[in-house]
Amino acid sequence: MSALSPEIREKIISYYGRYPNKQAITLPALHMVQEAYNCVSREAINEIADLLELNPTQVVDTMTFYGFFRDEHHPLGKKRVWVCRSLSCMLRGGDELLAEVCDRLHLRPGQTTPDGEMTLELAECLGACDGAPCILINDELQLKVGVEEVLALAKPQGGSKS
Amino acid sequence: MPSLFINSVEIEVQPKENIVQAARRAGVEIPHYCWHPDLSVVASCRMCLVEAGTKKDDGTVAMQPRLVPACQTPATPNTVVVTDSPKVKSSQAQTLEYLLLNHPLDCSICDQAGECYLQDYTYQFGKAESRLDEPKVQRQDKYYIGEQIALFTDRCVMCTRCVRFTREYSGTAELFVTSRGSVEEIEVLPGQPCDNKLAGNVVDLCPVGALCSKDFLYKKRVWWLKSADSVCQLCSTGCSITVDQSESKVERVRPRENPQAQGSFMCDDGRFGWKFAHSENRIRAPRIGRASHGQVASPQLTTIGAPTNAVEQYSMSVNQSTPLATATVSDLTFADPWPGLINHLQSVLKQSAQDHPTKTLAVFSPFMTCEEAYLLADYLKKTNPKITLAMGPVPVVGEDDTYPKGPKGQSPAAEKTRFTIRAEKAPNRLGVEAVLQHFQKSIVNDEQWLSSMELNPFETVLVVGNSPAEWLNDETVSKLRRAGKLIVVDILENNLTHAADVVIPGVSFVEKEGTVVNHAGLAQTFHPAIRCSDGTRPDVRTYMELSGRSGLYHGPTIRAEMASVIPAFAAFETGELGELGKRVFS
Ligand code: SF4
Ligand code: SF4
Ligand code: FES
Ligand code: FES
Repeated sequence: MSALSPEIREKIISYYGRYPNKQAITLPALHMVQEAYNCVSREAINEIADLLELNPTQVVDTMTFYGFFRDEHHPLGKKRVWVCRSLSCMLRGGDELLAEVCDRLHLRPGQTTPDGEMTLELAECLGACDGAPCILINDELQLKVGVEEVLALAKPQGGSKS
Repeated sequence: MPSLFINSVEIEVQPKENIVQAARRAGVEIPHYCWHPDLSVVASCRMCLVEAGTKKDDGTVAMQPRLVPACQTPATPNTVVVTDSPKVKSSQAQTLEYLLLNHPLDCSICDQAGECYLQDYTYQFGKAESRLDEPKVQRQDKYYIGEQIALFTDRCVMCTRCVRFTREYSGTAELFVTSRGSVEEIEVLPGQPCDNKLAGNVVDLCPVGALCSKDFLYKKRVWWLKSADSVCQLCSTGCSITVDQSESKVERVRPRENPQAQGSFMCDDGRFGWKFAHSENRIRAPRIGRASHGQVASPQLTTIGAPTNAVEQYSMSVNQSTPLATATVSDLTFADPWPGLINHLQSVLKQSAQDHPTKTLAVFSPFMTCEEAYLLADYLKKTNPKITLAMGPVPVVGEDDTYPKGPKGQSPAAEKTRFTIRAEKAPNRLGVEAVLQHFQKSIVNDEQWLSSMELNPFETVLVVGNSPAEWLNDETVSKLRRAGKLIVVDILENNLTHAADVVIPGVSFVEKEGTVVNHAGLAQTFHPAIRCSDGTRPDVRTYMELSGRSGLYHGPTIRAEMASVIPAFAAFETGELGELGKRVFS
């Protein structure tokens, strides 16, 4: 069984020619795979390497360059919630918000709730300081959040985004 | 000629040089870690930062405000480089302080100490103290990096030379960088260690004590090592190498850069291919009479020599494997077996040349040096021109192994090949053939002499082996055994020496001087790194004495003589081939 669906393989192949060489497709390919499977497994890495005529170690090298990608031992939850920890948010209570969320959910940043509903992450300035403290739910920004709003995200169907 | 300026020294521009290389020609060493002439340029370590600018036509100089990496900056006409300004010095000191932040400073137990670029550059360009108050990041050592390679993770300066080597040169790409920033490390994937045939080179490439050779680990402090220029004899690529020894024991072998031969690297077959020189299985004394394995210097011989001196007494007692401590005076054999052996051989060969010259055969091996082949061939043909000189088998194993490999292990296209481990597992077929061609007028190959051994055997056969691995198969040996007298020169005991009537010990390449001609016709002279193993002596000395030449063997003299006798060796004229060798034929 192949780790990548035929659609993803085709999508990766469709990127050939977009860049000067196939190695340059590594990053888009990693994004596609993580988006589809919540992680990039070893098998997926081997298959990406195969498609891009690379050695798997080259894909791993790029993948671990970014804290963004997860291996199969650390898959993402359904929602990935980034809590901003930079200056403005911190001054507006972002620190306390994060501490309380961690406490109530028994999570550390980077970890996922046991039911796989939510992964908690730290973010640097989200560029929305006027809405501090703010968070990012997957790709969506939410401004001036409170503890309860974040906790609600940890519940199935909770929060603004499923 | 256009020129550039390094610290006000004007030098000519040479094509495709960077500032590090140009500065080196001007006698200025620019410290660098990540740059290596055979690898891609990443300019990541920042050790080589210098001030650079341009000299304009009106004579004024415009310097760039920022420092530039010398490794990544081409040495173009009118470039002005300053490497010793306060700005550059402060940058060098800061870079080193940063590289040493989490370094364990464990030089006292580090194998690299004494040849480490962290030590050297810190001494030359760094500061004496660290300002770090926090605890250092500690990392796990990784003994699993390769069968022969250990990684001392916290000594790594992340220059990525090792990673680039496996990607660009071996093509096997086992090594990679995992994570970034303060947690980045060199790593391999589980179950995929760095065990390719060129893997040992990453240890040489590592500028610090991070990647170490398990074979050499904790064996010897490098300042006790003495080196000799040598040439690998394990295949016909003939890599230039350096043999490092201490107290007449080889400790390690490293590649010696030679663009005419292999480039900057070598393979692991060669890197560990010297070990037979210290093998238990060495022949340590001449032997007459078909002996059972292990029996040395037969009674006929030992009566020939006369008691000489204490050194020989000692060495003979060692040869007899009688422990010296328990040996009584009567156990010791006081004789030097060599004069007797030489007499014996001379009379056997002379007799044979008289009685049946056409039934006298000498088989040369591609492991002989040019000088050995020449001296022996010259002696035999002078004894009787009708003696047949023939070529022994040339071992070929598989196919040429070329690098860099593709991601699936495929061999590269010919024009992309950067390194070849040759299938021909002998150093000097071309050289020995050229000698035989001259003396015999044609190459008598093993098929030819083996078939005559079957139909109409030779009476007297002399075979030179000297292969580090088994050379002749049992069938060949049994055919040779049909000779009335079988004389064998060899280094290790094997099926051939067991079948011989006379066994003459030869010595390995780390113990002798000589010249070999590689696959491309490049002749290189190698030099002895260690003393001959007890009881043995260089093969050339045996051949010199056999032929009654006076004096000691002197390589350059013999090579000059070869040049005058054999036109193919005209390039040997001066007797000296230089460190990098000379192309004799192509
Ligand atoms: S292990 Fe050595 S060669 Fe490899 S990155 Fe570290 S310092 Fe450089
Ligand atoms: S390629 Fe051949 S000559 Fe070079 S090190 Fe390997 S065995 Fe020796
Ligand atoms: S500091 Fe949080 S969005 Fe700028
Ligand atoms: S040698 Fe130039 S940046 Fe490393």
